[in-house]
Amino acid sequence: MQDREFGANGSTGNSLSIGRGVDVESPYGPPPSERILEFGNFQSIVQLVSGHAQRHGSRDAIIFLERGEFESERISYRDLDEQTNRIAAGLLEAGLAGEPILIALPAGSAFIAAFIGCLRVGAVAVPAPIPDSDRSVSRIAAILAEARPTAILTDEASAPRLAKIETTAMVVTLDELRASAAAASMLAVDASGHAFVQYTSGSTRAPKGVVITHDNLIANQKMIRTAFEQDSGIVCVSWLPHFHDMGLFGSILQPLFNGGTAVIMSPRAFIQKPLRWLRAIDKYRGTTAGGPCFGYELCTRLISPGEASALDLSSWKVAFCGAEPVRAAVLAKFTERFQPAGFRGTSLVPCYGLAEATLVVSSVAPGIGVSQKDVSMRNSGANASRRKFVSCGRPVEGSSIVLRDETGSVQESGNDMGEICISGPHVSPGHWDAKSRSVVPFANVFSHGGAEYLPTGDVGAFVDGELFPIDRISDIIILFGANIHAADVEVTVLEDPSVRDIRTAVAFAADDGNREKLVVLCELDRQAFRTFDCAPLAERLRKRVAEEHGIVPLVGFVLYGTLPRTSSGKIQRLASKRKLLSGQVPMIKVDPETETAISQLRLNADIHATHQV
Amino acid sequence: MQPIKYDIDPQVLRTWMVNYVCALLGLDAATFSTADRFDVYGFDSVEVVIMAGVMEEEFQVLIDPSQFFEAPSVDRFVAMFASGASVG
Repeated sequence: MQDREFGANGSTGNSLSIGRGVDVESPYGPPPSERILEFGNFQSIVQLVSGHAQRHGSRDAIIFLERGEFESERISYRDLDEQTNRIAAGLLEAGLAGEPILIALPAGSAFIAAFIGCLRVGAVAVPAPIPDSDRSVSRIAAILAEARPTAILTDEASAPRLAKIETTAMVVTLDELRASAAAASMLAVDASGHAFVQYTSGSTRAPKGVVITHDNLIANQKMIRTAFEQDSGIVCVSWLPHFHDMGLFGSILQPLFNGGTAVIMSPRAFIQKPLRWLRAIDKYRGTTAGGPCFGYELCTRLISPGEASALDLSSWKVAFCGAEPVRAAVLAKFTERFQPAGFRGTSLVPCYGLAEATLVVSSVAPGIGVSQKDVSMRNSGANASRRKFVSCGRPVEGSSIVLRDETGSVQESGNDMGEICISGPHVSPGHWDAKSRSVVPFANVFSHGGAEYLPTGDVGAFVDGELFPIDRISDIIILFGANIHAADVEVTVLEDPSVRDIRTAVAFAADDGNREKLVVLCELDRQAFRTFDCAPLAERLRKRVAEEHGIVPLVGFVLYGTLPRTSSGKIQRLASKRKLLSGQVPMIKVDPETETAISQLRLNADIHATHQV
Repeated sequence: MQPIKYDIDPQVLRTWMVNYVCALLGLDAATFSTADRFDVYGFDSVEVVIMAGVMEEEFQVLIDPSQFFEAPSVDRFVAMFASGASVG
């Protein structure tokens, strides 16, 4: 492989400039009966949904399953359009057109109508978690402080919980908006205008919102449609959080984009009983359903072979898998368990994406399944090794990816790994700046071959034109499909009032072969290191991190100065992780359970390193 | 939703929860402290929601997982469940 720059289908250098220039296809095409819908000169998802309402208004748009079992809502395109119009009219009457609006609503048609309603009146939607726990309320508070929206759109049940948050934003309920007698007019949408701001990172300290334009949204929806070979027959069954990119764009807007049906349940309903998700795929003849590897693992763990064989999963054509490292062993076990139910391993679609690219960056084509290859780990003259990784396919149509080495140069040779850098009309123009109510372009964008590329913070390699994501150098830890900022975990540890002896801490995720574990290494002064009591301190920190972030970490202690640092003295997370996994951290103190768990992490890293070159 | 009072012996529920958590985490049921928050002994939020699902099957009841976040220990959950508060 000589050329390091790949476009879709292996072509080279076909990148488009960021945030602009989506080609649109011919106006209204064949009737819905022909399945493949042509797209008119649509500039936004709003016009598309209205178009579906006009053309096949009685078709089911959204089905919501209460507790993942009971059909509590079945909303047609006509109903959805009507709900959207009423909310849009209410927003216009409230003077909120064009304003940033935070949406804190439970999963269901009201959230979707509110989201599209905001887009319809040119408001900048900011989807947020549901305020159902102290943790989610504090996340909403952090997003409010950063995004500074004019209004918070919520429902009657959630409004009292939001009242605890100090904010200048007005709280508007759906009932108030729906009471409006005004009629919504379709505003002209500026395609390069801001559609919404994504706060997908779990950062509670300084969350950064990624701005997605109408152009970005339509471009990525088209890319997903092509990559996943979707048409109006799509029935997408989702348990993913409705306010996150994979849930909202991949599993709700994608079926609506195509004129198909979104069947939705809450993440908790799924985690409580994963069988609910597969039963819904069976019942509604789901064609598309997916999520992080964790979801597949949970199904295999909690659904018995007997329960599995009673299902009919033969309609499931696209079982996408992304957001966390794709683990071949987990997917192989899933396939084995659900094969008797008619599930095909070739339906598995590993993909790679991130919020800055709206959602999807690269994907395997449906019908291929999981493929693994030995990937060279040589980087900047370091010792090379080869390890097995899962292919996440080719860049989505109309985009390109290059790899950049540690010196910042785009790699021209075919043997190195590097930071994944993306270009295309799906790439966000930058972060949200509340002060100017505008975009601050990403500082690290660079030009290459006439296009602008955004570094992702993820490391990958190309083999035969396919992308193999390898590791993250970014500060985000992805666990159970949720993003956690490493810096937040470190601050949680360092700010604990009972922890005086810890000088510094570093957090990262490591794979034990089954799932990712959160690891926290703390550095102590020599005096404290000699005398401290390991087990109670580790327990205290596990508790604090679990309370703040919902994940119980593995905690280890080392002598101050042991962990690798940058020239400015900052601890390097990726280098620390590699040092721990290769057994090169001297004198680490851990309790016995943690020692066993860390051995498992090392063992998994060794298994992957098939041979040294 | 109206609170539902289930006819489950709190002691049976307590024993079941202790056995479930201890079996999953490899802890000793004899020394397990039912007053501790779930996350103290490494029972994270995903596992708590999974336990809510297994419990539904075991006792044939409806459980909203958010109850576990309002009452995040064996003692507090059993007390809440026995009083019939916000179940379902």
